[in-house]
Order: sequence, then structure tokens, then C-alpha cells
Amino acid sequence: LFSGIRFSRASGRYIISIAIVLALVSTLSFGAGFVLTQFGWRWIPPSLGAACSIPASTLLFWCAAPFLVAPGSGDLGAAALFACIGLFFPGTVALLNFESNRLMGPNIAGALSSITPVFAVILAVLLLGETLSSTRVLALAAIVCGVAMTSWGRGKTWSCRSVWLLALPLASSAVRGLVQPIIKLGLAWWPNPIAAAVICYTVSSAVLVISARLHSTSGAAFDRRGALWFAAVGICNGLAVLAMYAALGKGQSPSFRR
Amino acid sequence: LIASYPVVTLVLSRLFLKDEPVRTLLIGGVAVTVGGIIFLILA
Repeated sequence: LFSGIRFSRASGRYIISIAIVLALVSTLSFGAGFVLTQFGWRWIPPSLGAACSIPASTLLFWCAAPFLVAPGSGDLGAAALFACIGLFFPGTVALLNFESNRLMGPNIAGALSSITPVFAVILAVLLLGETLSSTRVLALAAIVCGVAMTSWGRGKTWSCRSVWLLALPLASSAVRGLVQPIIKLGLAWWPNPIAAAVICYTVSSAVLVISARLHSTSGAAFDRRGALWFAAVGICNGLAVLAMYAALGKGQSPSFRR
Repeated sequence: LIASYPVVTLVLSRLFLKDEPVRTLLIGGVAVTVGGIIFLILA
């Protein structure tokens, strides 16, 4: 973080690298997405909300794609892998996040959905046989304590449902943790994360829209206001992903005004 | 930096969601969780 902020003697000001600015945009967008979801589910259920949110993110990725994806550099095998991932990701993650946001509120859902790195560490230990260092054990203990603290006070109103309610955002984090190594495999063949996002999100959008159409025939109510709120959530999440990849790409160049 | 987004959610929900309770324990829990995640990523 601090390597991205340096003092310019010439201008007498602190210069913040563009990577830091992009990371801040990503942080704000991810955070705002959780709060906006609260407005969306007042009008439509999370299942319909996901069918509005993910296509909105997809639209944003398609708008960015001509500038960030060179079609000639594509790999058919990687595209097929991304399409297969798209059948369940990010659709399931969106559904789990929206449902946990509705049941637990944005703060607990947000905190629990951010623990994806924990599953990456668990996978590394289980599959790759990596050993846990003492600092990692300490970090995991802190995360467990933090999660317990967020849920503690609400125990009075949640009763026995608390434990399985925690499973929803934890499952969302687990799905993201599991999918990441598979996406990395595809990125080895076609090293373009935006192309991966475009394909995964397009397939997921199709799955969610078809599912919502089938669901709507069984009487689920659709409201335009809810659709717009969830579309805003999708734009926030899409912007967060784009800004995150851009920040990672710019991470090596420290200059902001060059 | 990006891993700290639950803190942003906490601030925004305090500002815009009046019916969402923001308790001291919740603030502490989010801070400890985010701190742990950042510590885990850096470790």
C-alpha cells in the first residue's frame, strides 16, 4: 500500500499511484454492492435479482472487452473451460450472497464473503500438502474470532438458525475459492482475465435468465424498481472486478502523473 | 486494500440503512476479520 504513495519534492505533494486509486474504486464498488442489494430485495426476490445483476455486470464487461481483449489472441480450449465455469460461477455466488444479505444484513454477509483467501489456504494445505506457518495460523484464528464477534450479538434474535445461516456466505466464499484455481488453469492458456470474465458472466447470465423465466411462470413477482436496484448492484460489482484487474495490472508502475 | 471492502459496507450501511443495526461488537468483528484476511494475504 505504502509503496504506491510517495512524496514529490518538485510539487511538494504526495503522489498516489494509479494502482492505489483503482484499488480504492474496487473497494468502494464492492462495498456499495452489498448496501444496494438491501434496496433491491425489497422489491424482488434474490433469485430474480441475480438474473438482473449478473447480466448488468456482463454488459459492462462487453463494453470494456473491445479495449481489453484482442480476439486474435484467444484460445478455444480456455474459452470452453471458462464457459463450463460460467454454468455455475458467478451465478451461484450471486444467489448465495443476495440470500445471505437478505437474511443476515450487508455487514455480516460482506465480512463473511470476504474470507475467500481462507479457502485458498485450506485448499493449498489439503491438495498441495503445504504446511501452515505460525503467522497464517494466527491470521486464521483472528478471522474465526472476527466472524464469531460479528454474529455474537445477533444470537439473541437469530436463535438456532444462526449456524446454518452462516453457511450461506461461507459457501459463497468456498465456491469462489474452489473456482479460482480452475480459472487460473484457463488463464495459463489464454492470459486475459477480462476475456475469462466476459465468457463466464455471459454463460452465467444465460443460465440465470432462463432460470428466472422458468421461475416467473410459477408466480414469482417481477418489479422494475427491484430490477434497477439489482442492475446497479451488478454495475458496482462489474466495476469492482474491472478496477481490481486494472489495479493488479498497474501494480508495477508507481507513477500517477507520468 | 481491496480486502477491506467490508469496512466500506459498514460505513455505507451506517449512512444509508437506518434500520440496519451497527453495534460495537459488529464493528469490532468486521475490523478483526478484515485484519485477519489482510494478515493472511501478506503472510
